Amino acid sequence: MNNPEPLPADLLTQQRPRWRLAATVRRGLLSLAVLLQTLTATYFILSILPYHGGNLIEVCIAAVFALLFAWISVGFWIGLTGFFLRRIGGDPLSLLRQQDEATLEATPLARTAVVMPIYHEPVGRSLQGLKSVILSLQRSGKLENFDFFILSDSRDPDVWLAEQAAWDQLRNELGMQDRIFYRRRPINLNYKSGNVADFLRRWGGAYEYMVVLDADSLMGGDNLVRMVQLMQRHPQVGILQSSPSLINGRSLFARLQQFSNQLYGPLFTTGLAAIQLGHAAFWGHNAILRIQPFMQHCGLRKLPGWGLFKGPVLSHDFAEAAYMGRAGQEVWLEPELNQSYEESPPTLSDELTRDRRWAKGNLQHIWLMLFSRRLRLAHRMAFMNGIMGYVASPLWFSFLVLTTIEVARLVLWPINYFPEQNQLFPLWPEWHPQRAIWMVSITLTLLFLPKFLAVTDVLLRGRRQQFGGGFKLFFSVFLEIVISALLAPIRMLSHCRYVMEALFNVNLRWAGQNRSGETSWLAAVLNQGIGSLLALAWAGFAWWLDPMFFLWSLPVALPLILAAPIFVLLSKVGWGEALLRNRWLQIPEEAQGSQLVDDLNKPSKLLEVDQHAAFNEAIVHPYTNQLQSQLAHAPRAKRQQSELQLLAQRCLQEGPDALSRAERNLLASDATALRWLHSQVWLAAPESIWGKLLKRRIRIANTPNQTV
Amino acid sequence: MPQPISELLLQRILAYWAWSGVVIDAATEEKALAITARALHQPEQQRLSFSLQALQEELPGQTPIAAASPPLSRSSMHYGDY
Repeated sequence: MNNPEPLPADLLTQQRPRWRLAATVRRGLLSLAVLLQTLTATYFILSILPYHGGNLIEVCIAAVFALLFAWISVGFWIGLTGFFLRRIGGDPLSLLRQQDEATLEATPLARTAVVMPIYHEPVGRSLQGLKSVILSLQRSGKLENFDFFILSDSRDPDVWLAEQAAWDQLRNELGMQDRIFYRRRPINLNYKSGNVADFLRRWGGAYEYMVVLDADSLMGGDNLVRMVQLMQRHPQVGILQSSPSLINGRSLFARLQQFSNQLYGPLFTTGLAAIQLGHAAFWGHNAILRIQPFMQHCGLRKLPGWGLFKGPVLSHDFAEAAYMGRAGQEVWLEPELNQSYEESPPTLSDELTRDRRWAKGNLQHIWLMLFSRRLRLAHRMAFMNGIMGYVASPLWFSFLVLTTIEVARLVLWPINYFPEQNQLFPLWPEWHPQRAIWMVSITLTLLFLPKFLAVTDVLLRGRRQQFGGGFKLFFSVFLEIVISALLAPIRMLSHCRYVMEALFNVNLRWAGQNRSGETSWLAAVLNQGIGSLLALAWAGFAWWLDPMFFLWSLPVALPLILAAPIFVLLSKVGWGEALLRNRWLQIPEEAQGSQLVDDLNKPSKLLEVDQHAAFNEAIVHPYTNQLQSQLAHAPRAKRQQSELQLLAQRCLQEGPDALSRAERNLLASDATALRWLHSQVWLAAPESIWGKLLKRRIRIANTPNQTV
Repeated sequence: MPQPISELLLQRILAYWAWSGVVIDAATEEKALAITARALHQPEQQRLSFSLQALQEELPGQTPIAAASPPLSRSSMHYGDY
């Protein structure tokens, strides 16, 4: 690893500052469009309300409505911008279009580290993904410029021992002993950002760039090469973010997510990139970062506030992009960098588990947005965007509560025609159901028009076959719209809970999260039961108040009442696979194939690594024991050694299950203990615990297609 | 019926070799049988330890595993304002 040579000045693409002016104009136009649309819609809803905003409840309804409408209006205009730009062949100001293809192709590469931080991930899948990336780079002919680091924060010995075994398997398989590295931090400080910072402190000086992958990321070699070349030609760019597409979904839920991501995503990311230009956000993975300025400016201090706003920054990526921007570096989102993938959570339950973390992380950004100094306005807006992603749910919930109060007040309380003293004329409440229907139609247009434009874009580009053909594409879109409408209230209620948890720094867990492949009925009922009862009570109250209001409540109440079956049915892998066989919800990679994705799904010994029995394997298996012993601590001080000897003795006599995770961690980290246990286990009597384990292991090895 | 000791010894010797990367062919099987036969002549308490020692003598020496990480190239993270 040599220190990289800077690119000669004549090879640098001349920075064209006109993007800054264009960014100002585009953001100004977007703000104006959103403002005008929101003001008009708010005026319209005031005309719908019986007293036209004449009391506190109606003022609150209008205020909450305005915020929510502005939020969906931003999405609408971004989608429209994306559609327009895709129709004219892409944004002329994008980073990729600032030089021609041949110039980019001729740009030399610099040393780049591809890092994959992992924490208790499915080991086989993660490393098989990394293998696919490496094979793809090999095919691109530029592998020699890249080194690969697996950065583990795993604490469970069964998991990290499996990681080490799989890492060894991977580098032996590829013959890359000196190019694929593994590092496990002994102390997990500051989550993923701390893990990456630990890597940078140790090896950051040896590389010009760092590509960050998630455990489920997949990036094509040509794409990685192109990203390095872009960074080489644009030294003012600190972070270049690709737009990952979702792939590899098997459950119905994951297939719906990846279909909508692949169909609608390009429109929105093109629009978003066009608005953000050089002030884009970093999404934490599938991106390339310039190491030197990152290390200089992106160390994340702990937040000094209270409650949620005290301690390490949980969602580090937006903050890092903002700090890069503050340091004068550009951050670009480039939607036309293909072959950048990740996977969807397999079930709604898994997605909401992830959202719980993200809600906390994004709400922490309130502090950064308000109190960080010298941040660019665009990055403060990016924080705002992330915050609204979660705060929109309690706003929607408040809107429902306020409208219910409004209806209840009209029905249950006598109408006061003379609310003011000395009023000459009565104040008549007016109700315009037709206008209300209009308002709903306008809102639905804002929500769904970009989706239809995305379909139009696919049709005009002649890509319908990639999505299963015309008829199946339309059916799939219909299915996606119906299910996303069902999911919206469920997500809303869950997000309300997460926002409350985050703001009050408490845990309002109703039931344990389901972590299995499919969601069980019991887990779904326990998880969603309270929400369903709440919705049932609300719908009943609405019916009692006014049957018409009950009908209005149904699009929200019904999905919440049916939440448990929705959870279970969407998690079904069989349903997802049946749709795939019939080319419903099809995505381009399934239609035309992709070597990168195919490599991921090829049978491999990596996928056979068992992370439930890795501790036993480290003791029993001669080669694995040799490997793990060499990676473990050298012999320790005498006092520690005698304590470990006692522990090892207990492990031998009572078996591995008698030890706690911490105790197994201690043994697995010590070379002497591992070697001693290995020699003793092979001498174990056949009727002892280890004798039986050994016999079972030998039997499995002699039986094809069985795992440890 | 409990597993006969000869079967246990043979099974462990072959498994150990196979997992250590030794190709199990007729010649290695013969060697395994020979070790088993010699082990059976040992006192009952020492049969397993004898066979473990004997099978390890047949293995090539331990090959050092390549380093898990490259040489350090240290630099510092800087922590600025919020």
